[in-house]
Amino acid sequence: MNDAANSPAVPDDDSIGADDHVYRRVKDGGNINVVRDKDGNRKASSAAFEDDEDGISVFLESALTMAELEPAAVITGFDGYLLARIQVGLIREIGIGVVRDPDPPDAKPMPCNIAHCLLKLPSVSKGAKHRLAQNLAGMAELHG
Amino acid sequence: MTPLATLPRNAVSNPSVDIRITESPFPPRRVDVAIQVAEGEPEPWWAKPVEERLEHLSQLQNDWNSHGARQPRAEAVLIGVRVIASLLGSHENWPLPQIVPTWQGGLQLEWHLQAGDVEITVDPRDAVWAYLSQQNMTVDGPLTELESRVSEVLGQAAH
Repeated sequence: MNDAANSPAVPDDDSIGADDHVYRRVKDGGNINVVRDKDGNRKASSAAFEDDEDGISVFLESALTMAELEPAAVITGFDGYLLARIQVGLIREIGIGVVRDPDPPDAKPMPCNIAHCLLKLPSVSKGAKHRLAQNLAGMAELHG
Repeated sequence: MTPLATLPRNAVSNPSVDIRITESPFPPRRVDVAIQVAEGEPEPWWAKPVEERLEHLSQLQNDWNSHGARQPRAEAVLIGVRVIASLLGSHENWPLPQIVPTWQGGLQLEWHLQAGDVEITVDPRDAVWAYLSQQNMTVDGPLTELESRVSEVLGQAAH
């Protein structure tokens, strides 16, 4: 976490409110990226929040609403997936930015793509990145 | 079946364990994972559930998470078994890891226990890395440096 706090500012879109939420598709079928916590409750694995070169792909709740889409639209046509929902303000508190990225060119064409965003992680060590992924997994509420 | 990878017996901490991964040469792709023991040796208690889980994960195709993930690499499966053999060995009442695939084609072994949280990432292109959280203390580093602390947490959770 200190690594993140000391690194250069990450891209962040301040038109996205702190009380907004993002949704991440998490593969569940056969508990692929879903695990049990110490009390036996299901939670997303930190492995579900690894970032690729561009950032972590998510969908913005307010943009879905503007497009008259339900959150479930994010997993429509995807078999065995859950939605992980996280509040934007909590994401920013751990040094991660949220930017709009509508209609990514490499995505399967879906109406929800208009709400696509990326979580931008700071340039930090491998260990610090994993801690951020653990934090995201810990904040996420699973739905679906 | 075509061998994808075989771990020599002397490459694991538990010298009586071999791992063999094979893939069907014809579609549909099917990967078999077999943890083998030397003749006359008892099968490790953890072998069956680990084998079943790894075989399940090995069937995943590229983009299994819809975010461009790679299918688990055979090398990651081999190293994952090696790590489990090293940590669990013959401790029959120690907890099994929850095994999940990672985006880069690796594996992650997770234990979420009252004594603490342990996550071990297995990426064939990198060192096996351990993340340990207990109360307000977190530490991470190569498993080779943290193995005794990880074992301590797993041992506390013995049932």
